[in-house]
Amino acid sequence: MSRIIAIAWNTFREAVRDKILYNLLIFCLLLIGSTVFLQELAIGFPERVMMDMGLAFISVFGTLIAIFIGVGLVYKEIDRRTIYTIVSKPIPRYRFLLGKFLGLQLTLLVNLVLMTVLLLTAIYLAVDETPWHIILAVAFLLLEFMVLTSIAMMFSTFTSPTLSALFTLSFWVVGHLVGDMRHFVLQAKEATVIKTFAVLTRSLPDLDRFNLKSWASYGGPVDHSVIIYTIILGLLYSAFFLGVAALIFQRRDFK
Amino acid sequence: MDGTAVSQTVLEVKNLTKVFRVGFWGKKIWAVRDLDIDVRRNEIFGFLGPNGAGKTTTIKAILGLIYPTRGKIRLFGKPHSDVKIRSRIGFLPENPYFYDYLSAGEFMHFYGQLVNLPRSEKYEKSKELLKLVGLEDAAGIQLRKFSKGMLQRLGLAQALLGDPELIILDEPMSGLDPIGRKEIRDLILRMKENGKTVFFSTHILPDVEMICDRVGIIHSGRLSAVGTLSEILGSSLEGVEVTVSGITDEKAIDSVISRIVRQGDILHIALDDPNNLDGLLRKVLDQGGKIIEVFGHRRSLEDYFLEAVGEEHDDSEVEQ
Repeated sequence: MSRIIAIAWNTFREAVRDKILYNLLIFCLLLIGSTVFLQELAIGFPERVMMDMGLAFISVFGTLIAIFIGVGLVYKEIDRRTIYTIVSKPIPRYRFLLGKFLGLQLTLLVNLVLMTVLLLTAIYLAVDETPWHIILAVAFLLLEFMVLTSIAMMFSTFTSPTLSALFTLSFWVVGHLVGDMRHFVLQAKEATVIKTFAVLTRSLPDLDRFNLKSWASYGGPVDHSVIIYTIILGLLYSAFFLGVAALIFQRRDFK
Repeated sequence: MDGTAVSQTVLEVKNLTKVFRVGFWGKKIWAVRDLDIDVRRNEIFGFLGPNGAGKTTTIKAILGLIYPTRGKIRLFGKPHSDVKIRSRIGFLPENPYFYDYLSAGEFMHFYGQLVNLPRSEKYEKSKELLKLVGLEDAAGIQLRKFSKGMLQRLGLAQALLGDPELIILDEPMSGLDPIGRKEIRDLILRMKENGKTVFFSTHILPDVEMICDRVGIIHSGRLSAVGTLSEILGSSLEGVEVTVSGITDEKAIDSVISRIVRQGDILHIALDDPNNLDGLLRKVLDQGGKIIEVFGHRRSLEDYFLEAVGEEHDDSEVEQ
């Protein structure tokens, strides 16, 4: 376990020493800060505008980190041959993958905490209220980013970063349409269409399950079972994609 | 093989074959063919071959970085696929590239964790090894500012973390200046003194001649020779050069001579057959001459290497 933690910590260290991440983070923090001015445009409920915009920025920024750092996590190690001295140490390959994955989760967590703190502060300064409930929406976003990272890592074990990013983005787009596809199945009449979409909705990760942004704007109770179900779903999706990544990675030759 | 021999064998490679498939049509490239090597405890084994001979492929197969197409590899008597066995091995890759955002100290601590060094030992050992390779003052410098020689030495330091018994070095001297090469040679010799076994690949012949106990020569993926230098090159003389003076008539001694050059009173005589030396010396003395120097020529590793590589090159041209 200590070796997985060492790899995770090193992955985190690599990310926080990367200037690109800082640039993205500063840009996103500025955008979140700018919601203070955007709320002036709202007709009533200015905090809703701020929450909507703020969560949207966090979502976009987190997705960018998860995909663009995720696709490079393994590929860069192979391309730069740093993997040679790691894999030749007494560490099973799947533990290396797990360490890299956890390192990126830590990076995402720290960034999301920073952005959420700023968003809450901005809302407090604007309307003198702190909508603590948005933390749940951010936590759900973190689950979505976990799934996206695992998908990105899976692709990066066998293809280039550009293709991996493209495939992961496709998963992200389609994953957010799974809910709509389900409605489509209910309304479709043709058997083959129903079957095709039924297969698709069952086999693709339903990423809209992690979307609590609308709920965050309006508030209201969330059932505990929904929270537990979503956490389990996030863990299962990630475990599946990481499992496939580990299988491919285990069989790879590092030429 | 008796029990002692088994325990003395640290690395055993049998019939190792690796085929890569390249290009759209999956064309087969035979990187290594039916390779057999055994490396014994506390020896320095030089794995010699020209660029592209299959040295790195063999090393990667030993370390589990690539999967052999055929053949068996055993480390300390166990299959090389056993991950735990790697705690007894240190490895320096060719042209090492490490995480350049880390300082040398951070790098060593990280790798110390990877070989499961206890926290207290990790810092002490890192410091000790950085000192051993002459980088104690560079502990706080980021690796992106390191020169090639410094990276190579740092690579050696990380290979020694965890006190491994077998150290595998892929081209450790390549790209280094003569001082850097000597430093690495000295370090390898010190590893042997400390009871380690060293297996290193190189295409630099003098390095092998200077420090190796045994040598394996690989070319085009095949092992062409393995053994001690004297086993490979033979201990017999290939020719003799004799320098004499006081001989006025060369014809009196020329019956066994291959070549002769006169410089004033001095004669430089070359004998292709060393068996003729006794007869020549007797004749020189009978003629009242004086023997100044006798110098025997042995076959060098370079001669052998060029012959072996040259022959196989000719063969492969014929095959094509």
